[in-house]
Amino acid sequence: MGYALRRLGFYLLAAFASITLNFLVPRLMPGDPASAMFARFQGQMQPEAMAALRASFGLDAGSTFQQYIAYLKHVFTGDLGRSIAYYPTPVTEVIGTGLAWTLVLTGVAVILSFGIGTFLGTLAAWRRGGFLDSTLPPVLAFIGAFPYFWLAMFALYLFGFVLGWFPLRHAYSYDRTPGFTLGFILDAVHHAVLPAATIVVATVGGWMLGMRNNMIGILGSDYITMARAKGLSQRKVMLRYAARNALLPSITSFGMALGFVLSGSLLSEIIFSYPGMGYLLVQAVRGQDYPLMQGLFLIITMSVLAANWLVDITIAWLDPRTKTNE
Amino acid sequence: MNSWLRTFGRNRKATLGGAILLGFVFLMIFGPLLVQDPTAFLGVPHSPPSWDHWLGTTGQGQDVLAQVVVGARVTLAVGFAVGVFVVLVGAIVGVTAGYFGGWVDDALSIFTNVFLVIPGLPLAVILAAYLPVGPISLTTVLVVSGWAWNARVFRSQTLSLRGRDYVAAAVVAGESRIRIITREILPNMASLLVSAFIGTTIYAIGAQVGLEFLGLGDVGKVTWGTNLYWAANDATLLTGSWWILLPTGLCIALVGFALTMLNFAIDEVTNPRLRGQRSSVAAKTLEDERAEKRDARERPKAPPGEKRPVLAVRNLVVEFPSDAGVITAVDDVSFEIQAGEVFGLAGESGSGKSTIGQAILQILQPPGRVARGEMHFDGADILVMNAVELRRFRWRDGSMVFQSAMNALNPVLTVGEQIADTLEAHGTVSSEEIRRRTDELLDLVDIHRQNASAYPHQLSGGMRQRVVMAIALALKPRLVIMDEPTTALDVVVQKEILRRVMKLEEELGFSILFISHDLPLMLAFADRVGILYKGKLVDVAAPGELGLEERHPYTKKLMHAFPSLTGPRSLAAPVRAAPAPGAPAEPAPKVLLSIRGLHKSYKTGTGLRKRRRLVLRDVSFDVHEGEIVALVGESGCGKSTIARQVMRIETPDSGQMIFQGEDVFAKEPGRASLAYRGKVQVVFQDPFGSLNPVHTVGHHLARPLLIHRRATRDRVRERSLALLEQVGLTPAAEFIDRFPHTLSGGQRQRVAIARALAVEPRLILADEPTSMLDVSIRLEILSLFRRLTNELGIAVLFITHDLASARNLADRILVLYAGTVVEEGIAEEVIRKPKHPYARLLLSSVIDSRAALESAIEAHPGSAHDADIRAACPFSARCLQKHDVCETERPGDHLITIGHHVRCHLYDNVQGARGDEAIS
Repeated sequence: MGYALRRLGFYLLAAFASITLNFLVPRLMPGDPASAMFARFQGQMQPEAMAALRASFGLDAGSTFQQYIAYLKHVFTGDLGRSIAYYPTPVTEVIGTGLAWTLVLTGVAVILSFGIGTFLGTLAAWRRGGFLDSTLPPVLAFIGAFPYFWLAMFALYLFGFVLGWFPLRHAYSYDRTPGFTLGFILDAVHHAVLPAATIVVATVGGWMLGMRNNMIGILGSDYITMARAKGLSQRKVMLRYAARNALLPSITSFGMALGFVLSGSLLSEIIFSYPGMGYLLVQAVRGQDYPLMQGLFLIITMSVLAANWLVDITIAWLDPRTKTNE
Repeated sequence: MNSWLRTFGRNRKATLGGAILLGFVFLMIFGPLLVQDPTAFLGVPHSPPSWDHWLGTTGQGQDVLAQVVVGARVTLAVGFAVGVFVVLVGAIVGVTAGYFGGWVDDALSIFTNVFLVIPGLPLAVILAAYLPVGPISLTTVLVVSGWAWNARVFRSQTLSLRGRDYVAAAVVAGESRIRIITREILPNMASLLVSAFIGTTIYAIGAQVGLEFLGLGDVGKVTWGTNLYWAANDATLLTGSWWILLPTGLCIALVGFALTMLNFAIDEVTNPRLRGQRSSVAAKTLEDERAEKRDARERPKAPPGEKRPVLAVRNLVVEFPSDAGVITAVDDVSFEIQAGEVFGLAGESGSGKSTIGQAILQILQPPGRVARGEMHFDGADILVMNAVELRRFRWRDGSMVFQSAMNALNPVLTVGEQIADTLEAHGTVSSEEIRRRTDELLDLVDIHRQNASAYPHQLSGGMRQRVVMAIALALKPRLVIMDEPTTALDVVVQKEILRRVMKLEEELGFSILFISHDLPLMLAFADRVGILYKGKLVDVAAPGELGLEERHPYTKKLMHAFPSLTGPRSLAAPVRAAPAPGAPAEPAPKVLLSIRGLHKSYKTGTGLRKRRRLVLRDVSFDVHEGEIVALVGESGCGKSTIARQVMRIETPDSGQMIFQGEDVFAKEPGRASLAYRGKVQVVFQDPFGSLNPVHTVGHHLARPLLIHRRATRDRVRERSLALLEQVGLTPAAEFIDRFPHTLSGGQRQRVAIARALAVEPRLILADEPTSMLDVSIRLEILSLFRRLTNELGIAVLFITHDLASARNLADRILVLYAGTVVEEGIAEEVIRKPKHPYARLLLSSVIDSRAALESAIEAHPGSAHDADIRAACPFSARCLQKHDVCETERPGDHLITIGHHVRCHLYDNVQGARGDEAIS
């Protein structure tokens, strides 16, 4: 458990750093952000919103250090200021509903993609030079080179607009009330298929290739030769001896890539008008809603840090060497 | 480097990626000249592709083709710029952290890792939102959010390169820090730099397009990102105008694809195994061949009652097809192994000895294949077995002990699980039965039953090797193939393991195919020995007959290649003629290096769990001018650590070092002076790691000559040629312009020696200089050291684990145990009359005869590795002659005869030469 706690310590440090960054960025930029914004809005902003903005930046509270302390206090009590686009709703409340949709959609899609990609990579390495190995990587690399949101637009156009197989927007039909009923869940799944599929298609190639290359490295090692020599079945050599070991670096890079994939999926959400955090992000950008933008940054960062911690624990559990090495 | 580029150029993926990329670079530069104004409203909005507008018009009536072509410029420019800056920042941070280490590394690593886990896009969004819009802001934002990954990669690469011997050699040669980073480390990162640039550019284009799509770019500019932004805003999907979307997306994907292909190609060139070639094809033909052979051959029915050999190999030929032609690894080899017999296969690397073992179990690495010949196990033809029969044959009839136990065990499964796997695969299913058998097997190899739940990394090297042996014996096979089973182990452990094997063989009656390069060991262990040379079995005989005059010339050569613990010392210093009566007595050689009370410890662990591990404790000894002093001991005893202190690439915690009468640490406490570097040089163990692959032989020699002004610029080449001649690389002109990878191990080691000689040193540290060379070359290198000492009067500190080499080459021997010099004396005396119980243990563990193998081990079990260096006497835990005082008081240094010291309580009450009688 010492290992898990040490990693937690690191992520807390990272969390603290990103909170500080969030505080510093507006202050390091040229000019006073609130006035800059005020100028951009050219007087269309309500005075209350302006005051709220200044308050949320903490610009009204003394020296930079005092502002920092005040800011930390706000963050730790869960106060991220008030949204401007949805004034006067607090930022946390605006983000609250979006967070759940994003986590479920992206979480499921990423895990699916990782699972499928890893499995394909295992097979490709096992039959190196075979059909799977020679055709899939270039094709997937090509598909993976499209921006996620472009694939999303294309999928929406083809499967939603032209063929009409899937709904065009949102996470569930407007005539349904959210709840844990079978009908609602099926409806939500129906809405999620396209966005999830674009994420899977866009990312699966990377996982496959990573796993393939790890596997090829592992397959050359003595313990694989010994496993074969011991007369173990092919299946057992492939899964229990080769894949089990090749998986470890894959999972490490899974943690590393989470932030990246999440960012991409936020953009796809925009295309599907999916009511997750990506949708909020575009609202925030278009509405110049700085408090919301910064709140989103914090929440997304915290989710990624938490996920990374879980990944670390998984690795420690899968790899007996993690706990003693260091 | 050139051959690397050539391979890269021939790679199909590289050509494809390069061609596409070149096309886009052309578009980026000349594109805007070729098309209309992309911002002009020229046509009817949302009109599909036509003659006027090849790719149709946008929602505002602009020409799509023009937008795509012009958009390439800014998008690619930003992408490449981010690539360059990120690699630059990453390389500076990473290389600095990796090279300087210590707190610089700690601080930079934490900073990097924190940035690494903060997701890039959201960070980029808030940065971009506050910055003025435009390409420069975009570039800045993407550099800030993307540098960390590269810094991390560069740091770990630098760390691994910094540990290379050629970097240490450059430090010892006196190169400056800047030069080491730019000339020794960075050139070896070339492919990494390129692939980091490519990877970052891919990321930069994707992220940039994403940000612009969000509306965070300058929407008035024409880029691929803003094209998509407008496409989304102009309700492209609702109007079904797919032509607005498709071209830009396709271009982004093509650029990304091209870059990815280039990166694939770099990966494949640097790691050829990744190329997706054959393997399955080869397997198929092998399977076909098997079927054909099955049909062609009747299974021989052995006449009942006749005594058959366990294994019969007839005219075996193993080939490895490659691009350069077919390599025959095993050439027409025939032998038989009888029941209960130990058959040894001896040979140097590349002789095909391991390949024969793998061929028997049919586990040859592709593309290796049995081309001709027959192999019968107890009459059954191994080559025609189908998959089911083969699985049964493997391990149930014939099993194998692999060379390196750490690599032969699956690191993520416990010992018990790996034994169970073997049993299950061959039909044992009840968990009760498996547990019982696992316990039995662990008992058999003398490992505590509790260790069934241990992971391989939790066991010592010797224990792991015994686990591998337990697995090999799991199914009571009739033939066990042992491929260098003890080569990676220290002598004491080696003897323990071999004695165990011998006992098991007597009890269980299996036959052994014993594969090793160590001929003396083989002679002690095997019933018959086969000598392999370049794939051919040149000689087979019983150990007693191998030394006879009429054997094959190669056998004779091999027999003489091993220095021995008895007989004449072939490499000893020439005996000086006794001075004529009346002539002035020759002055005693002066002390060159004098080490007093050296202590050294290393930091282990990180953060709160930092500890210091002591590795050297109070080490003192002298090296005289022109003398060869051997430092012997098992791995982990601290002998290389001593070398690193003398080399001055590390600094000891405390202690004195007097070199040529000057207190070195007092005079130059920081970095070593150039004058010191000019007198103390080093030759490393691994000849493949001690020369920088990017530099020629000539460069390796020229640098020390220039740094130390041993030759003027126009004389450097001449002097380098002379050095090569001196170390026996003739004709020197043929070697000077070659790159290290074109030389053999022995030739590289000669270059390394020439480099050490270049500065005309007084002392050469030779850290296991022959242990990675083939036996036939070892003697040549050792005699080269002797020649240099005789001719140039250079002193050599010869670090080795091989007592026989030490005895043959050195004038004096120091025996090291757990960071302490336990015994010191004239070479022949230490070998013949060792005093310290550990020295006796070490010597009795050298197996050069049957008797040596069968004699008892003179110590309690344990290993030099986990000896408690802080104990009063670190050896007391294993010593058979331990007294109470050994646990409480540090033994003093006792003089036995002139120059023969021992640090042991057994000699507490003994003065001078009487020590021997006192304890025997």
